[in-house]
Amino acid sequence: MSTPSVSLPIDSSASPTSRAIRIFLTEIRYEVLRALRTRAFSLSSIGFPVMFYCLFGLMMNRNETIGTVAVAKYLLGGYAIFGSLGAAIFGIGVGVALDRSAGWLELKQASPMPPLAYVLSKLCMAVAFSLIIVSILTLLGISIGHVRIAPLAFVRILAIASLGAAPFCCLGLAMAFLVPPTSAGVSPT
Amino acid sequence: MPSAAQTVASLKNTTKRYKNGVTAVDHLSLDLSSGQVIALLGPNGAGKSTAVKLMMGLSAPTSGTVSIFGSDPRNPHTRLRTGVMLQVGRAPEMLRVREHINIFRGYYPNPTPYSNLVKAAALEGLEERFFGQLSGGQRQRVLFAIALAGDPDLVFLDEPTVGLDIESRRAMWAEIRALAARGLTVLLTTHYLEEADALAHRIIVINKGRIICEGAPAGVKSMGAGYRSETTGGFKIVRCATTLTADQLRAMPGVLAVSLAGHLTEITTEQPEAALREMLALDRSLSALEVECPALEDAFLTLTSEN
Repeated sequence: MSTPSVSLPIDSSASPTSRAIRIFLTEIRYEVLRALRTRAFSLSSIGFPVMFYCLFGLMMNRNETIGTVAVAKYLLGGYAIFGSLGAAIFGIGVGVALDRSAGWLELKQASPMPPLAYVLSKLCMAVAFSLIIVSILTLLGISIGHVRIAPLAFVRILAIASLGAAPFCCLGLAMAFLVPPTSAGVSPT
Repeated sequence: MPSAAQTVASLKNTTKRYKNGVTAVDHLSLDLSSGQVIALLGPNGAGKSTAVKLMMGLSAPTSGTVSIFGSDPRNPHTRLRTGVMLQVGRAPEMLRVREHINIFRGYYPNPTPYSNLVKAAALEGLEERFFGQLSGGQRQRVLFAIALAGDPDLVFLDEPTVGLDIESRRAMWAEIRALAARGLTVLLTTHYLEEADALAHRIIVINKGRIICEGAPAGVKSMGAGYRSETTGGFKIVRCATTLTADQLRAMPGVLAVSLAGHLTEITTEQPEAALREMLALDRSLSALEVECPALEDAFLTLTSEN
């Protein structure tokens, strides 16, 4: 994925608050960019919910309902959350565990980066992926599955998917720190 | 504090014991003086990286104190004045070299100009590459640039030249010397005596978390040349074919180590004359006698293995 070259405006006269905000924004932007560029991650975390939704929601179970809701609509919500769970667990859990075992996390900790910026960038990455997944699924549902969704309902799904990413992120983080890193931590050097 | 201007960082009687029972740093005290390049020299597992991590506030000491610029290393204001290069196995691979450097520059209010960093780390032409596409030596150079991103007053370089070819190593040495010339304080860990000798104003030899000796490179080297130094006596290596047993040899004056090399016995002794006199008296068949000053590497090996 090619990106336009963006130069970071670094202004030494900026106040600490605006500098902190810029650090957060930079960290978030590059985390999202990094995740999108990592094809193995971006294709699988977006691809799986889309594939499953097409398979179970659009191809099979046509014209069937669960309660009063059409399967295509019901599973749209289900796979949207499935997608945000995948992005959070694999993106954050595995990503942070790798950063930790390789010593990259320590280098970040040793820098003046506010620790929250690292966590928040991971969270925003998962939220961004959730939004992408929900949008693709909704588009597929409307165009192929004849799902009718009011604009307000779509906004609500987006909001739920992005809010819902937060607990999954916590789960991912907890996993990354509970599982002992494979390579680091053993050697005292 | 008048001494604060002189000492920028110090460990005082610091011990670090890991949960698995390994004592990585054992009652270590050291001071880094402003504007100096200090080399922490020791074999693998000596506690060099742990000492650096203690000074960076990345791990808390089990006992003792750590102070950087007179305050806690975890203080954010302290972090703005330090830069660090750790042994990193993997960095985010899908970010470009330029992006990595700029992300770190953004953390500091007065970062080093981008072009200076690229030049200092010899990264010209690699700026648009993804980190994952770089060779080991190139990755090392990116990490070096990151360490300098904030125009720090104090830099920790943990094994900076690992994986570099000879040419890049010399280039990095020149850069480290240039840092010192600009008045930065540099703490460098290495297991190459040559590197410590080439760069440092002061060498601290550590093993198993303890200081074995420290001093100016000339002083540390002089131990190898057989002169007496402040902390440890000079020693020589005696090589000969002898029928004396290792236990007998160990009992002789000043003997530090006895080893067998082929049919020759090698004895490291601080009092070569006295030891030789005894050996010649006890073993009339002694032959193929050689006495030599240990080379620098030998001196280092002996220092670190005997303590």
